[in-house]
Amino acid sequence: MKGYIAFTKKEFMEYFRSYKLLIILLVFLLLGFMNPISAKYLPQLVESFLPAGMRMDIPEPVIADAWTQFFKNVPQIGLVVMVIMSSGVVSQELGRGTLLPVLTKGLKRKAVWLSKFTGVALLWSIGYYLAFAVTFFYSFLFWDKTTVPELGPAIFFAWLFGLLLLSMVLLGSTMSKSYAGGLLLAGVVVLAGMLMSMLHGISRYSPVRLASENMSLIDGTLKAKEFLPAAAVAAALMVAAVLAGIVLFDKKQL
Amino acid sequence: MDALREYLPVLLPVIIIELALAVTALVHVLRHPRYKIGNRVLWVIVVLFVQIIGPVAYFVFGREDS
Repeated sequence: MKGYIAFTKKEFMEYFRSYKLLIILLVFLLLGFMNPISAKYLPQLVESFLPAGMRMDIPEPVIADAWTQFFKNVPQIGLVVMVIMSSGVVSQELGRGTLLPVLTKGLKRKAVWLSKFTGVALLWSIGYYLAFAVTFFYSFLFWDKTTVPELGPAIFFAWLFGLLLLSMVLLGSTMSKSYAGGLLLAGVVVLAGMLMSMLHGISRYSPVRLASENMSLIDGTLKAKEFLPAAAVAAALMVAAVLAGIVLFDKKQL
Repeated sequence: MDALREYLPVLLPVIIIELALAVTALVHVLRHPRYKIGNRVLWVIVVLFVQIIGPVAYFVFGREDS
């Protein structure tokens, strides 16, 4: 336990030194600001670029538009940046052999892998909820009516999907020697999820729903409990990926 | 000019963050002679002209581990 906490702290030191922490904070901060701004001003911008004489009826932007932007940007651009950042965390250390000294000094392999996962999971959570907080509070400047239904669950589900992808990235990163392993496995999971969403009978179990249909929660067409099967599948897959990662890492030759 | 005055307060945080990213990356590019992929000219261009993704790409793919 002590080793786990110490190694997690070391991970954060490394994020700091390698500029990862800075980039994640800045990118998510930026995404957070962009959502309400583009929701509020995009219609005006479009109008000013229309040729003279042409009229287009654009509805007055509402707070829900800011959340549409949020779910379009953060779980996509934000998550892609996060996935790329974490694609090398295990494979790089394996390739460089930098884990050898700590492991021979008695740090458990389990603790090392769990620290790696905790590190990326925490980094994602910090970034994600930072973007959420900025969008939430900046929206107060633009709109008077700021309540939307089921915002909490919608936010939680997209976050859970991020955790699932990151667990897959780490598992893939443990399996291969290069960046590609993590990216590949995450890609496969997204693709499989998208295929599942297309098939009629099992679409409600697809984890991809957690990050792609959040707007139906915001506009009230779907209830949170209809996402529970997908959330359960995502959570189960994540636990499986973590366990598989630990087992694989245990057998890995350093 | 009026449009600029109207939009600037709103856009300011976005501009500041983008500049911060670009400048941090640019300083790093100029202070380090070696890169994992590419050369200095390429990274200066990428970092300055590709918004957001440019600096991120540099720190992930271009930065040589010390």
